[in-house]
Amino acid sequence: MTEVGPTTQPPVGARAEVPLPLGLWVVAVLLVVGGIGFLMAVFDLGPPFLAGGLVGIKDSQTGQAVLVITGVAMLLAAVGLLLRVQSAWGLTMLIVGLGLVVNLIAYFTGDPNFLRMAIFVLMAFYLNGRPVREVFLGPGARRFGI
Amino acid sequence: MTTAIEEAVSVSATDLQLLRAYEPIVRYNHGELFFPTNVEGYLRECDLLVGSSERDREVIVPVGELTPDRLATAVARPGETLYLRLVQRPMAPLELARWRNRPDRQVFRAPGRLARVGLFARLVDAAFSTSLLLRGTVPGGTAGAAQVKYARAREGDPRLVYYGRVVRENGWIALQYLYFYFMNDYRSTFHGANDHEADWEQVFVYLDDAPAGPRPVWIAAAAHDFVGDELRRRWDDPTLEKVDGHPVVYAGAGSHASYFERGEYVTEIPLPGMRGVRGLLEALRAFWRESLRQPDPGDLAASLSAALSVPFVDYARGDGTSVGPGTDAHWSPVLIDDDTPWVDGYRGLFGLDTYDRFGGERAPAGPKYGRTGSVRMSWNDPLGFAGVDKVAPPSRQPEELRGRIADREARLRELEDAIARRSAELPGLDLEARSLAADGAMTTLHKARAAELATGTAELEAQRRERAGVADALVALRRELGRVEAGDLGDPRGHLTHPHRPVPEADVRYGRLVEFWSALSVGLLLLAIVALVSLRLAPWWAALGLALAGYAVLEAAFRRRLTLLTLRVELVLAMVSAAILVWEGLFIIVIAAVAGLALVVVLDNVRELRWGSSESSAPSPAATAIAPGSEAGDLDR
Repeated sequence: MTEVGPTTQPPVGARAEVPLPLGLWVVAVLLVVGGIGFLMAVFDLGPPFLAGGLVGIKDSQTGQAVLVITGVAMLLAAVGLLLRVQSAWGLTMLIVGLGLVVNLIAYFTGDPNFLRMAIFVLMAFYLNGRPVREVFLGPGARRFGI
Repeated sequence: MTTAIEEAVSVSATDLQLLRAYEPIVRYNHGELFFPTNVEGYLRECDLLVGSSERDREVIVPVGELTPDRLATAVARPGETLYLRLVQRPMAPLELARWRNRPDRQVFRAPGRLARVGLFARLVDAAFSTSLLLRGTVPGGTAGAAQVKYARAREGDPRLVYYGRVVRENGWIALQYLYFYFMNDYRSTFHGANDHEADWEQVFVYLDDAPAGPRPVWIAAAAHDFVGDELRRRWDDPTLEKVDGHPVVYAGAGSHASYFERGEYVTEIPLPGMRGVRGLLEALRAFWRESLRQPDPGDLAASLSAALSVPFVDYARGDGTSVGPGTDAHWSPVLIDDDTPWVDGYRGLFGLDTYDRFGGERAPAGPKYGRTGSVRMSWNDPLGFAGVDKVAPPSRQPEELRGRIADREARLRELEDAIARRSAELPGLDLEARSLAADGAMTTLHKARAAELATGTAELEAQRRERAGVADALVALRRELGRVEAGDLGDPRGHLTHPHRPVPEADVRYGRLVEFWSALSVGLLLLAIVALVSLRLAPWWAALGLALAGYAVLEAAFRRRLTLLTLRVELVLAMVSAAILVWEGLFIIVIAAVAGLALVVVLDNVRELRWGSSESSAPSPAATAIAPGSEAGDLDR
C-alpha cells in the first residue's frame, strides 16, 4: 500500500512567494552603509566618503537636517526592502533618483565621482527590473506603468 | 416593342428600387444643426460669384434668381473660380449671442478633447488656432446665419433628401448615396478642424449582380484621411450594424463624415518617416525589455504617434435624430447621373470660396467634380474608390477560381515539360564539359560549355522553384474553391490593415479638473516662460526647462500619475548618467570588453579541448545518442 503524504502544492489562486533576489540584499547593505554614513557625517564621525556627495552641506543646520532625514530614510528603506514592503521600494527609487541628481550636478560642476554614479545607475535599472518589481508589485507589474 | 424612353424609365425604376432597398439609416448627434436636403432649396438662398481672391470677386447671379438650370450653364473665366455663397451677411456678435441662447437649441456636451492628448498635441492645437487668423476662413457668425436659412428652406420643403446613382460594372452594382448639407459647422459648433459652406458626403453599397438577383456584399463610407480598402466593410462584418437589411451609419457631428461604429474618433497626423522610426523604436523596446530586463514599455511607435495626434474629435454618437427606414424620418431619394444638368454642367464650388491655402475652409465642389474641376474618383471609378475593383463578386468567384486553377495547371504542365527536357540535357553537357577540361587545347570550348552548363543549372533550379510555387498555389486555390463553393468568403475584416475604431469609452471620460487644466495648460506654460524670461528670473533655456518641468509635474498630479512620472524621470536620469559613464570611460569600457571577450574565448576553447580529449578516449553515451540527429543537421544545411 502506498502512503500519500500531505501535499506541498499551494492552494489554487494563491500567489507563490518569490524568493528575495540576492541583489536586494546588496542594495539594502549599500543603503545601510550610506544611511549610517550620513548620520555619522552630522556628528563628524567616520570617513567623509561614506556621506557621498552631500558631505559638503553638513556645516549648515538645514544641511544637517537633510543628512539626518536622508540617513534615516535610507535605513528605513533598507529594512523595508528586506521585509518586502512596497512603499520601501518606492522610497528606495526616490533615494536613488536624488542620488542620480546629486551626481549629475556634481559632474556638471566639475566634481564627478564615476564610481558612485555607476552604482546609482545600476541600482536604478536593477530596482526597476522585472524580477524586483515582481517582488514588490506582484506578477502584474511587467508593464511599464505602476 | 418598348421605346428608348420606356426602357430608360424602367431602368430608373429598377435603380430607384435598388437604392431604396439598401438605403442606409444615418444616425446623427444630439445638437446637429444641418440634415441632408435638396439642392434646389439651397440654391434659392445663394448668390453666384466669380473671382480670383476675396477682394477681387463679383456677384454674377443675385440671391433668389439662381436655379439648377442656370447653375448648369455658369462658367468661370480663366484664372477665376466660380462659387456659390449661402451667407451674404454673417451674424453680428449680438445677433450670434441671441441665436446661441435660443430656447429650442440642443446643447452639445463633450468631454474636453484636449484632455485626451499630451503637450505636443496641445501646442499643435494652439498653432492651428493661431493659423486661423492668417488663413482664409469662414467668417464667425456664418453657421448661425446658415442655420436660419436652412430652417427657412425646410419650412418650404421638409424632405430629407439623398441623391442616388447606380453604376453597373464588372459584375458589381454600385449604389451611390450622396447627402447634401447646407453647411459643415464642425469647427464653430463642435470644436473641430474646419467650417465650410455646403457639404457633400457619400455612402456606397456594392451589390453582387448575381443571376439569382442582386445581393449586398460591401458598404463603403467616406471618412477623414482614409482611402481604398479601409473605407469598406463587408456586409457580414460583425461591427456593421443593420436594421431590417438597412446598414446603419453614424454621422460625425458637424463634419457629417460617416462611421460604421457609434463612438468618438480622434484624428491623428500621419507622421512622415514614422515607418523608418518604427524599426528603431522596436529595437529599443527589445533591448530595454530583453537585455536590460526592464518592464515592457508597449508599442513605442504607437505611443509616439498618439502623443503627436491632433486633438480633433469627430463625435459620431448617434444620440440625436436618425433618418431612414424604421425611424421617424424617412428619405426622399432623387436620382442623378451624368445627364443631370447641374451635376454635369457646374464645375464651381457649392459654397463660399475663402481662398484658404490649406483648403480646409473652402467649400466643396459638386457630386461629380473636385475643387480643381476634374472628375472625382468616387464618381468616375466608384469601384476603385473603395478598392472593390480588384475583388470578384461572390457569385463569380468559383468561375474566377476555376479559370485561375486551369491557368496554373497549364503553367505546371509547361514547367514539368521544360524541367524534363533540361534534366535530360544537363548530364550530357556536364560530361562534355568534363571531357573538354582534360585537354588544354580545348580551353575556349570548355569555358563555353561550362558557362552553358552553369546557365542551364541555374535555369533548372529556377524552374523547379517556380514549379514548387505553382504547385503550392494550386493546392491553395483548390482549397479556396472548396471554401467558396461552401459559401465561406473568408474573414470579413481580412482586407483591413488599420480599421478606424472609436476611442474606448473609458479613455474619453476625465474629471472636470483634468479638463480644466488641459484647456489652460498651454497658455499657462507660455505665460510662465514669458514671465521667467522678461522678469529676468532665469535665462531662456532655464526658463523653458523650469516651465516644462512644472508643466509635467502638474499634468501628472492632475492625472494622479506622480509616481509614474518620478519613475520615468529617474530612468531618464539613469540613462543620462549611463551615457556620461560610457563617454567618460569609453577607453576603460573597451579594454574591459576586449579582456572579457578574450577570457570567454579562452575558457570556451579550453573546455572544447577537454571535451574533445575525453571523447577521443572514450565516446560518451550522450554523444552516441545524439549521433543519428546529425542527419537532421545535414537537412538543415
